Amino acid sequence: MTNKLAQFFMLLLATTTLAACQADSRQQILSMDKSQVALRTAQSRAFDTSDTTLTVRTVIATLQDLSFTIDKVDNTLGLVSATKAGNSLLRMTVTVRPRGSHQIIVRASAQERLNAISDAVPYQQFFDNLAQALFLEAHEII
Amino acid sequence: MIRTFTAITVIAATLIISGCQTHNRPAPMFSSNVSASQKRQIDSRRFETSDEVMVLNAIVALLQDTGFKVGETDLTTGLVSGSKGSERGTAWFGSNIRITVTTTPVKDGSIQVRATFQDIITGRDPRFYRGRSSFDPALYQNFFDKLSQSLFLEAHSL
Repeated sequence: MTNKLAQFFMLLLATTTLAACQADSRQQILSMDKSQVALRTAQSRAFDTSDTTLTVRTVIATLQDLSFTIDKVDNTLGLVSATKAGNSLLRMTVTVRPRGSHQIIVRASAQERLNAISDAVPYQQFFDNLAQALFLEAHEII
Repeated sequence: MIRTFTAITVIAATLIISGCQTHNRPAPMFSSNVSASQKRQIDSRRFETSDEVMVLNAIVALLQDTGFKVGETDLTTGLVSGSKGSERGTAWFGSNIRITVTTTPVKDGSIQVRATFQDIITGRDPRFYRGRSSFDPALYQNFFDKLSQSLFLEAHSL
């Protein structure tokens, strides 16, 4: 009797454990763990310059400083895609867009092992490096 | 009996708590243990020419010489990227070497060339890719020696 009861409980717990994490991968495609505003604030900085090409070049140099290789560059759209493989694969997309006539907004988004990085600390590290390379101060956008 | 129940409950609780954990720790990959200036000393060289297009052509020719497939070029930003080795998903394990070379005009009229290498262990699943960056000064010296030769050949239309 007690054995059967133990078996029943084990089965129940195993079912609960396995079912808890079940998620349809299609529902995860557009999943976000932060609001769009919070994510953009963490991922974006404004720089006091109007030279888009120089900023794109400096973004590339900063990515090279961090040992990334560049996969794609589009100067018209101000887009740079890069990859770095260490203990896992890290992909970065950086966009450079003018805001008004005196500022440029740089936005970086990264994914590690196919998971989007939404934590603010890595982006802060990236923008610290970029600000040093640009000799300009990075302003929070909001 | 109670002990068995306690053990099962503890194991199950541990599984339930740890099972749904999503990892969102800060990536240490956005910082480097080598300073940018140290790195640039190893991976950059200046060439006494102001013709950026000629230098980019020489870089593309050198990548062709050394068996790289050129994947991306951008004249406005002065960039050439290439790779060689097994592509994604073609084998269980493979090696893919990636290179990015950039050119920057310097105020004194010369062109600065900078190369970044990565050696990536690939496979069918990108989640298990591993890689390392090459900081070996001899590799960069070899690359820039070959680039000097390529620039000479380019200048003489060979």
